[in-house]
Amino acid sequence: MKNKISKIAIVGNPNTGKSTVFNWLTGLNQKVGNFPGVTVDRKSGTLHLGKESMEVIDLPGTYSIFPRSEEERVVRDLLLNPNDPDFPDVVIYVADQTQWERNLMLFTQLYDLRIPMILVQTMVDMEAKWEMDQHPIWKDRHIPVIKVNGRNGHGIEELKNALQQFENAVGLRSNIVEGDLLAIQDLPSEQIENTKKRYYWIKENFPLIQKKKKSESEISKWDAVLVHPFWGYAIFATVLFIIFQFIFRLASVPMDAIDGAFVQLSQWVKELLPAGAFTNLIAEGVIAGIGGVVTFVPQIAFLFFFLSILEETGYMSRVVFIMDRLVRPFGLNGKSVVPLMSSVACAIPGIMSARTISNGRDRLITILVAPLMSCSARIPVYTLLISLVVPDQLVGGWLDLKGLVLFGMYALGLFAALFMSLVFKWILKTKEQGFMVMEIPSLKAPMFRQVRLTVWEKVRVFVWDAGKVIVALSIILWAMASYGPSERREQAMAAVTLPVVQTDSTMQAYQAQVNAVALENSYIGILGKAIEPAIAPMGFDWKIGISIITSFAAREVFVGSMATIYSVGDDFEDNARLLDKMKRDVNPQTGKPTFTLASGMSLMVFYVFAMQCLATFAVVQRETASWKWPVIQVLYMAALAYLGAWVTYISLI
Amino acid sequence: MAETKLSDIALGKSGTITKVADGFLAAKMADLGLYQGNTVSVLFRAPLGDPLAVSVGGTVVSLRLEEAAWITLES
Repeated sequence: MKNKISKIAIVGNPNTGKSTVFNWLTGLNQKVGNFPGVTVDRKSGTLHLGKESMEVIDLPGTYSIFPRSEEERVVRDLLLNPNDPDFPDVVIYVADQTQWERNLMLFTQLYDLRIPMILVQTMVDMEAKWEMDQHPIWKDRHIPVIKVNGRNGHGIEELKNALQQFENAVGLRSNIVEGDLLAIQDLPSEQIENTKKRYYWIKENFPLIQKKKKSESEISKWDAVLVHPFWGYAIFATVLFIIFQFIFRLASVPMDAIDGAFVQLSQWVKELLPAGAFTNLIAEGVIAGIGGVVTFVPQIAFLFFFLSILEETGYMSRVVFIMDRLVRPFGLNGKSVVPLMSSVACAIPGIMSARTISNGRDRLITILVAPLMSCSARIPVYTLLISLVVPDQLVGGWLDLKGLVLFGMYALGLFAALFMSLVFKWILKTKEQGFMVMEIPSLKAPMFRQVRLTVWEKVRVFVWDAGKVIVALSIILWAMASYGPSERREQAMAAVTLPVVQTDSTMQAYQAQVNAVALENSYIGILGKAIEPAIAPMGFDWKIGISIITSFAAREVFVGSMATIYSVGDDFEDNARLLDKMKRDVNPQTGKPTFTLASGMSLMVFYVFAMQCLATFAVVQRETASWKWPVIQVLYMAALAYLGAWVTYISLI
Repeated sequence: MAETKLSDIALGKSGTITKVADGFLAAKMADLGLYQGNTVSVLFRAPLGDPLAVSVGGTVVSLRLEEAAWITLES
């Protein structure tokens, strides 16, 4: 009896090469989303076989049909519910032949649950070349077995043939282990007994497995270095150092190019379309908003390139292993370390990579504190303010004070992240107990095909999912900065006197002044002035208030807003002139300079703590599938920023 | 035949599991091969001695010390 197959699910333990098989079957025809109601990746793709096309779903890695995590729950719910729209006609069960014993456990469960299956044996390029697929038991039990080599795709054609010729023979099955799996879903001790019987069955039928000891000694040899009390950390620090070097040096090139391209595009649109509100909306609102999304792509791509190599090779598990004890007192687990470290480059990929944390609370805490790590967008703010208010001075005769302050800002961010983890650990009580019982996969060379697909998938998710929110919010911000009560704004702009001698440079200065007045009288400008009493305790005036509001789009916008307000012109690179103007600026109320050591330091501390990033907001919204958490995050970080800046100001003044 | 907790076993030593304390993790441990009657050996420990990595059924599994303390071995 041949059945028409339209839906295929790929199931197996984690680290078996499941995704590799999925990628070989579907290529780039993939979609990534969430399973309804949970933030578990739902990866699906299309497989074309002759005239037929089938939907393939790559289910999260699972050890057992009795779920112990959210991912496993998704798999259980799907495989046990024939009414689920994703319910598969056939399951491709992927098992790593070097881990045969453990990998087959789930297989026997699905077998007894009468789920139609094709067994795929992977890691055929590793040692241990037993002819597992030749074992007579598969024929007796009507299970087609295919060997697939993930590195070169050998065996994929055979797998496709097997799919085309698949005959559903579940009716001929007799249980491997007696008993009703569905009846013991809530009975852990019964489950353990049942699982034991399955392992005994595997050991009895595949006695070869127990003889395999070779990989163990190999693991120990490499791991002796990777988890060594000194070398383990030294290697991890070196790996991080190399990754950051690459990101900061290489990502800045395409980022500048993207920046430039969008500025050009915006100018070009302005010239092409008739002047007016609509053109401005397109050129300054929409295009700049999209530009704000695309600028993040190089950082996300680079970071996930490295992270997926670390993941692919199995090194990531070693990092988790050596870091777990160190971060545990803060309510984090070893898996939080890489997302937090990544956030030093950019919180967005950091938060996206927190998906690997299976414990729901630990993952949420990691996401909530990740933006406190000082990211690369804060660097322009720090450097501008440090050169403005921190004197050139050596501390103790050899330490540069400016460098020390910069280091202090990073340290403050890290400290705040750890402290807030503790606070959230205390607030977010949970029944779900944290645990670290996890598999450490063996080390292997990365497959670049996999790496490429991961990078592509992460970039696409960011651009499409988070991008929508970012563009929408940046248009709102743009409108608030470009419009104001029209009469007041126009009067103020008209009040700027035209220069008597109209040369290029005087006209430029005139235009810069008009821009400054326009911003001052826009809705954001009015808001900035309105909040002045509220921000005065931190030592800020309304100009800083405006810049704080505009830089909610992205922190580095602070520098541009300052340049506009101080009417330095559009050349934001012109830091020297901006610095000069900011230095001479005097607060009319106090009669003192606006930027003193106290107010400058206070502003930096504000930027260490404040969320100030639309893109992060959008990504947190996506990753927590709620509006509640990103809003709580913005609020707690704002409170922290206010408090921190205020304390800094009053203690330095 | 002395009974010891898995958390107290020296590196490189192995033993047969005699008991896994009841609890929410017991079933999860069984899924990974840590069930009564199976053989485990301690492969390596993280710096600071915690967590530890054990070999069971050809797989390497990491456990925190407190989790390993639930498992009793006969060595």
